[in-house]
Amino acid sequence: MIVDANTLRVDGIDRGSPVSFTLNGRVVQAYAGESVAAALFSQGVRTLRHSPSTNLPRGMFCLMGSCQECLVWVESRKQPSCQLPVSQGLTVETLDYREAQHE
Amino acid sequence: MNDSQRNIVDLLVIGAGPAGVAAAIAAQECGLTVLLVDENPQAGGQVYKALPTGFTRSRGSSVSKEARLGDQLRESLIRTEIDCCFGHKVWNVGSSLRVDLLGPQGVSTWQPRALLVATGTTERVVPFTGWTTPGVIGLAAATLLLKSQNILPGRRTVVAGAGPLLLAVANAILKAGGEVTALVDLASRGEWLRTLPSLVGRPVLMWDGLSWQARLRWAGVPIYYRHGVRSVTQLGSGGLCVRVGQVDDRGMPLQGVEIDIEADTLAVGHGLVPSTDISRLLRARHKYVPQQGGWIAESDEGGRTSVPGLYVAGDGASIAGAAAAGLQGKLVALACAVDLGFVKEDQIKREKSELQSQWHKSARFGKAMAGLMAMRSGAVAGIEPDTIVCRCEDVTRAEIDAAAREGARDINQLKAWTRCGMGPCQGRTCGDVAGSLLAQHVGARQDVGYFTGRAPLRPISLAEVAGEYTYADIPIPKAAPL
Repeated sequence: MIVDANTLRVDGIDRGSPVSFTLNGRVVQAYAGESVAAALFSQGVRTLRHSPSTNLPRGMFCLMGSCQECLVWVESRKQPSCQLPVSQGLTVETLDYREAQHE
Repeated sequence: MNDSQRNIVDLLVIGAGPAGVAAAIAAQECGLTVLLVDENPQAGGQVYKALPTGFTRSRGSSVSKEARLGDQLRESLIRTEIDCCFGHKVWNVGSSLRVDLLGPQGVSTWQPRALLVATGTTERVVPFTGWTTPGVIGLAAATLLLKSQNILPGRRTVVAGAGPLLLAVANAILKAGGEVTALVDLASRGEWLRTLPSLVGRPVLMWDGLSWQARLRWAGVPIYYRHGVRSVTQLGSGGLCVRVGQVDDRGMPLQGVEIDIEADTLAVGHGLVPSTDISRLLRARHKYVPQQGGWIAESDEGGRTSVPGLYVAGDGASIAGAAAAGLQGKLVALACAVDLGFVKEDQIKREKSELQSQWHKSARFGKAMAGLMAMRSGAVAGIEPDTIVCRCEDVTRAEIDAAAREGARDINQLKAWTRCGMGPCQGRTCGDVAGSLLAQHVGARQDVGYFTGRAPLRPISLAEVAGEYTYADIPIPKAAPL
């Protein structure tokens, strides 16, 4: 199987339609149906939040909806991005970004 | 809650992996009404996870045996027309086994006569310095990326830890055209060789194992047996420096040469932990059996727990592998059918004994793998004091040890004193390790206990749960007469 040189996507699969979503206002290209966490991870976006007391960078870890490290805001819901499928126009915000907006 | 809002069913199965699906189908065959619930969009659990909705395999691409089994599992559900609630989270289970679901259309409630919990496992990662660095993911996470999302974990990936997932992930990376920069295994070659007898009668598995080893060797992947990850640091370039060193047979770091390996991603895992969220919530009795995954609900050969009407099956009941899980699902469904009066014990006697002997054969390999995945006390003992143990709350080993010195004797005391286990993951990630650390002061792991189960089972918002309920709905009692 050949790997796409730009992202880490593997060949041999007919993916859903190419779509774009936004992360903190920035446009991200992905495929409909992929998890937001996987799409971001494959493009090198691996920091999604900072830890409560040591303020160290944190990101995707278990990818199965258990560890809660990959939490993001989608409108009024905070949810694990590994359980969130990409769709056209999906507006995703990291926890830090949403908090900064309220200051 | 009025009756029209409460749905009734004979058996509600939580978890659409191999055990849950087999149980649902077998129960329906016995005449029970069945509902199968899973938070994922399709059946398959982790082991047979489907491709994302809208993805298909390219024409002519080779389909792995696992993928085929997954497709068969999903087809069997469609064929038998089992009622399914996919994309639904179970956020609460009441003492009468009432199940509260949260789905795309909001909340719903079901009242089953019997409840089967087949929720599988989560992964255990024993902490080491820098394990919270972005780019460090679980072995199960790497498997999900490769097999479901079809994405490589990194351009250069170090694969570390213990158990069969090590080989599976390394193999999947190589097959996808990626680089396995190193394979770092807590086990020794000897431990692997000792699992060979469990492969007798399983030629396909034996072939897999041999071809995986051959592929690793042909790709020239450096393999470090009896080694563990000491630390991970972020490099300026954005990559990771993974430092590994020798360990003893209990996983305890030994003095000696340390090797620094540069990579993009570290996929690390130290075994699987049965998901006992629901059985703990319902206050079932549990026992600590390291060779079966750690804390598991006490259950008999019919999957019956100490809570009447509550059954468990699959790896979530006791780790024995995917093949055994399917067989156990059937056995538990039969037990449930007998308990609810749909069939008589002697009607299913023959089928039951056939399934049991098949289960013993299938479980042999899964159990041998569970042995490789059992928590190693030395790996826990080797955790540095300033290493974070509870990721959600940033609780370090030093804080846990301090609480133990101050008298914490039970894991729930530890939680109350340090906040370890109080975060959004509800102790799923840290519980095993925190308990083991506390046990080093207290004595036996059993005496330390497990985190008390609490609702909600997963984080949810009040808005999601309240649904249509508003302030106007709150009944205001008439004031009492003066």
